[in-house]
Amino acid sequence: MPTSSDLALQCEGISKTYTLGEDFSLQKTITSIVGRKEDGGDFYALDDVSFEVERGEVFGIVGSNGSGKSTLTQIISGIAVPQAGKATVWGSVLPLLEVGAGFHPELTGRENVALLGAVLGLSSAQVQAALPKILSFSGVESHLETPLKRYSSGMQARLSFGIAVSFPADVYIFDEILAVVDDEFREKCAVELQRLHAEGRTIIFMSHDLTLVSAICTTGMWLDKGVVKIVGPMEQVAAAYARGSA
Amino acid sequence: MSSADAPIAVPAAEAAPPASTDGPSPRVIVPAKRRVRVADIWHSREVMWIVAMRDIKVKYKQSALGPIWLFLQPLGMLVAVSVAFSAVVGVDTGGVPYLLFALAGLCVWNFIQLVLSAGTLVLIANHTLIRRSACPRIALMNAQIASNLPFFGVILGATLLATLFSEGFGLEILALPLVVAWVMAFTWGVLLMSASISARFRDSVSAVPLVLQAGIFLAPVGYPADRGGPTAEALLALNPVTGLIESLRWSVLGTSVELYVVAIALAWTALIVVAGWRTFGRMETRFADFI
Repeated sequence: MPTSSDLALQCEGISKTYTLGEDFSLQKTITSIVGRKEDGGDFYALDDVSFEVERGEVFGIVGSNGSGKSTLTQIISGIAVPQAGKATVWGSVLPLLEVGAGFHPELTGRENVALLGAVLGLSSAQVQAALPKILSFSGVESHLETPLKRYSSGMQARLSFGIAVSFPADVYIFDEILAVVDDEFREKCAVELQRLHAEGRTIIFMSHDLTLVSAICTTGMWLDKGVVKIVGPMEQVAAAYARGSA
Repeated sequence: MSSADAPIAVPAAEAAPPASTDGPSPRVIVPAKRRVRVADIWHSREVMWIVAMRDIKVKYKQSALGPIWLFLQPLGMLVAVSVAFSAVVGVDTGGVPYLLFALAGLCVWNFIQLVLSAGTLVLIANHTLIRRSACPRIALMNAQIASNLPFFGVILGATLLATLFSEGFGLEILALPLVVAWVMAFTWGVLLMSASISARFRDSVSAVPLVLQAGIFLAPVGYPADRGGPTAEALLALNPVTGLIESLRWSVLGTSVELYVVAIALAWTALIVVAGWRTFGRMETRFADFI
């Protein structure tokens, strides 16, 4: 067992449920007043999920849509709280859960970089230091003072990714984001992930694209309908996922 | 599941563990009914300012008149209130020029209205930030107050300048910072409540505009609180905004104000700030689930 100082992330028995059906409606209000209880029931987005990620590791999480990957990232990033269990994260987390998340269409590229930096808890000095790297990576320098709504979707994706790999953090989380970019840009992203890895950062990478995850990650986990099927070396996880059974 | 015990491959290059002393500090995430602390209001101030600046900038983007609207909006309301209550109804303001009287009322009312009408929707408008980042939610709330401060400043400034050059101030003006802080605290409390509730129950999206539209008639914005006799005044006093407006008028214009009106408004404010903070804290952990 690794000691806790080697860990970047430790999840112990994490569970989270969501209520099925609409939260509130006039129909529901009336039936509840009349006394008939209609309940859509709960379902487990995450059911007793436990795993560890060591510092400096590139950890892949595979699973089909609805497997709980996004809920898990929300919990690790401190966005949502679990209903049971405990997650411990060592250091700062930088999640990129959706391309363009948090961008404001009316703000310029520069203003958006500053906004996201602040939201992610960086100082303005840290944002300024990261700006040249963001620009060289995303290639939007000529559009820096242009409102984001004038950007093509490809440019927005590049800026989004440029921010995510350039801001300093201890743990980076990428959720299904390379699916939206073309092959050439994906190559570029892979290079950046290698660089972060070489710098000793921890990377958690989620996808249902097995080839991509296998190429990048050393260890991983297969999440299926909120349940951990297997944790271990990526080849084993990938093989089990491809087979469809752990 | 024995997943926690599963062997984890350690790449050879990283096998040497770093000294435990220079490792980053751990952050523990456990089930919690509330996680936000009063100190977070201060710690999230940088995010508050940048979100407030964003909202101010965005408000006047692609607008030909831009920030001139800061002046046109209160001016328009001033004309409307003056025509309705001074020219048509002909209210008696006890010797205070009507324009000053109305400006002081609008100063409080328009700020509350601006903050609450946009602020109730703040979580819905920022749903990607809520769902996709750990952006401190309290900063989004505080930014709603901060981004409307220029508007408050313009109309309060106009009130003060106009009073300075016509009536002059009494000693009551020294209490103005307290009254302004009171307006802010009250508005903040209501905002926390209405915005938090709107994340779960969209009913507040419909209810708040109704309260704001009806409220201008039920608060002494354009008329003095004692105009309708003691019973009407007592009823009006139940509205906490009455005490706020009357206190601001007392401070700037030296008009009289009933103590019990101030006491009721203060009690309301204390209740609303505490209830607003508790509601926000209780719901904040699940904003990302509800939005």
